[in-house]
Amino acid sequence: MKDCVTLQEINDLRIFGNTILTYKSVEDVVKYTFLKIKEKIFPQVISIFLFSKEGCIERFKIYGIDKYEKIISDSWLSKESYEPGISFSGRAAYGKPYGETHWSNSLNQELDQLTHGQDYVDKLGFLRCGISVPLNGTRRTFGTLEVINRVDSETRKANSNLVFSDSDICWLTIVGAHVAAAISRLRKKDEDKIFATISRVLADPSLEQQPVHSMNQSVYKVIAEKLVDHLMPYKVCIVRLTFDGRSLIVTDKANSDEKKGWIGRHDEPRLLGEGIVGKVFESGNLVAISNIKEREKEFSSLSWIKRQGLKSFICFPLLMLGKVIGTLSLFTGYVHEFTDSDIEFLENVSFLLAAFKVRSEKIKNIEVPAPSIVSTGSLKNSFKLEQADSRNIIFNDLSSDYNDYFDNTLLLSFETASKLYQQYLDSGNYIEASKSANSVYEMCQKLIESVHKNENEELYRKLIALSSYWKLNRDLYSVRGSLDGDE
Amino acid sequence: MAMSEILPILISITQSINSIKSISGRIPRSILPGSGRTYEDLENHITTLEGQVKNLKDKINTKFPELSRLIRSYSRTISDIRIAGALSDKIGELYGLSSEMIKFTSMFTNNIQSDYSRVTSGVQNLPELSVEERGSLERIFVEIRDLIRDLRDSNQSDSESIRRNLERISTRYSDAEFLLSKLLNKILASLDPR
Repeated sequence: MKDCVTLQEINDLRIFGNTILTYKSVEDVVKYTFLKIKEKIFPQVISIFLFSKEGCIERFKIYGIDKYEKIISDSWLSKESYEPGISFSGRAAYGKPYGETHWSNSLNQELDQLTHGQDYVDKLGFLRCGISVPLNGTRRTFGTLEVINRVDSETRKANSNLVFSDSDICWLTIVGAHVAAAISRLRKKDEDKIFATISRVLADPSLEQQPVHSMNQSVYKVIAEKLVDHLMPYKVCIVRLTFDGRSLIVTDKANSDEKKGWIGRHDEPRLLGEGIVGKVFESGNLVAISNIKEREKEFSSLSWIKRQGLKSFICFPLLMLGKVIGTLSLFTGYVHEFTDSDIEFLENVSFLLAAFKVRSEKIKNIEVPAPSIVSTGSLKNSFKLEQADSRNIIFNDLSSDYNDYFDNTLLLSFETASKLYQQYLDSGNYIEASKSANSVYEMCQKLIESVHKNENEELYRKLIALSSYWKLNRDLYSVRGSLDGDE
Repeated sequence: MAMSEILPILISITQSINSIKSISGRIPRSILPGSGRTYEDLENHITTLEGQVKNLKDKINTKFPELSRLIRSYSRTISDIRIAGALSDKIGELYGLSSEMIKFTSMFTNNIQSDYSRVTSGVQNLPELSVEERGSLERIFVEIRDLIRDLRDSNQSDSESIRRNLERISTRYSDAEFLLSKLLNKILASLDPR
C-alpha cells in the first residue's frame, strides 16, 4: 500500500480541478467529482454536505449503492444533517473558521457515537470506514465531502474488510480543495448576481415612484427577500424607515421561512435610542452581535428570536449625508462572525437603500403637495401634448397614461399619509389621526376641483370615492377622539 | 344619576343627620314622652343611619370608579369595532363605485389590517368576559383574520370578490359589536336596583 500521492496523481488532480472550474452549475461539479472519486478510491457511498441557514451541514447530494447493490436515491434519509463537530460527518465541518479532514477505519466500533449510524448499517449492510474532508471557502468552511465504505474494485461489491489508505485520504483532501474552489467560485458568482440584482432594482428610476405598499411588490421587500436568498447566510431581514425623524417603523421584512417565521413577532415602532435598533438610529453606527445569547436583554423581541433559533444579529443605519433615514437588520440561524466582506457587502446595500429612499422622497416632495401638478395643463405639458394639433384625440389616446400618472401620484401621497395616520392610531392619538385623514381629504378635494367631470369621468368618480373614504376616516376618528377627551 | 349628583345628596343627608343629632342633644329628656328609652332609640337610629350613609359613601368611592372603568373600556372597544366595520363597509362601497379602486387594494388592506390589530388587542384586554363569551368573540375575530388574509391573497383583478370579502368583514364586525353591546347591557342591567 502506497502512502502518498504521486506526482502523476497531483497532475491528474490539477487537470480535474481546472475542468470543474469551468462548470456553470454546482450540480455539474458534484456529478463529475462523484465520478472521479468512484473511479479512484471505490467508495460505497459519496456525499456532499453544505451548510444550511441553521448552521448545520445538510446533505446536498448522495451517490452510492445499498446492500442490495441498488442505487441510493437522494430521498433516502433526505433530512440528514449534522451540527458541526457532531457525529462522524459533522467533525470535518467543525473549525473556526476552517474544518479539517477526518477519517476512520473503525466506524463499526463507533456506532453509538454516530447520529445516523444504524440507518447507514441498515442501508449499506455494514459500516466500516469513511473519510470526510472540509470544503473551505474564502471565509469559512461551507460544506464537506464524504465517502463511506469501500467497494472491491474487481467484484464491485462492498467489502467490510477493505479500508481507506493514507494516500486515499491525501488524495480526497486535495479533491476537496478543488471542489471547494469550484463551488466557491459559483457561489461567489451567485452572490454577485444578488448584489447586481439589488443594485439594478435600487437604481431603476422607474421604481422610484412605486410606493412602499403598492399592488406590486415593494422595492424594500424585493431587497429583503434577496438578502435571505438560499445563497445568503441570513435567515431574517427587516427594513425600517423613519417618517418623522423620531421613530422607526418596519417597512418591509423577509424570512427564509415565510410560513412560520413571523409567528409571535410584533412590529412595534422603535424610538430614537430605544433598544439596539434605536441606538443605531441615534448614533448612525452599525451594531454586530455574533452571539445574541450574550446580549439577550437588549433584544425586545427575544421570545420570537428564541423560537426562531436566531443566533447572530447585525443592524446597519441607512445613512444619507450623515442623516439616518432607516435601518437594515439581519439575523442568522447560527453563531456567525461577521467578516469584513459581509460588512462591506451589507454597507453597500444599505447605502443603495438609503439613496433609493431619498430619491423617492424627493419625487414625493416635489410632486405631491402641488395641486397644479394634476391640472390638465401641466399633465399635458408632461406628456408634451401642447403642440399636438388634434388635442382631444391624442388626449383620449393617452388617457390610460393620464390615469396611471394620477394613480401613482395619489398612491405616493396616500402611502405617506397612511403611515402617519396609522402611527397616530396605534399610539391612541385619534384627534391627530383625524387631522391627518382630513389633510388627505382636503388634498382629494383640491384634485376634484382641478378635474372636470366631463373630461375624465372615471377619474372624477375615483376621486370622489377616495375623498369620501378619507372623510369618513376623519369623522369617525374625530368622534372617537372626543370620546377619549371627555374622559 | 351621575356621580356628581349623588355625592351632594349624600353630603346633604350627612349634614341633616348631624343637625338632627345636634338638635336632639339640646332637647331636654323630660319633654320626651316615655322618658329616656325613647331618646336612646332615637340616638340608636341616628347612629345606624350615620353608619349606613358612611357605608354607602365608601362603596360609591371604591365601586363606582371600577365600574366606570369597565364601562369605558367596553364602550371604547365597541367604538373601535364600529369604526372598523364602518370603514370596511365603506371600502366595499368604493369598489362598487369605481372599478379602478382595485389599484388601491394594497393600501386599503393595510389599513384594514391595522384596524383589526387594534380592535383585537382591545378585546383581549376586556375584563369580566366569561370563557364562552371570549370564545364567541375569538371565533368572530379568527374569521375576520382569515377574510383579511383572503383579501390580501385575492385575485387583484376580481373587484367583485374583493367587495364581497369586505362586506363579510363588515358583517362580522357587526356581529362582534352586537355581542359586546349585549355584554355591556348585561353589566348595566346588573346595576338596576329592581
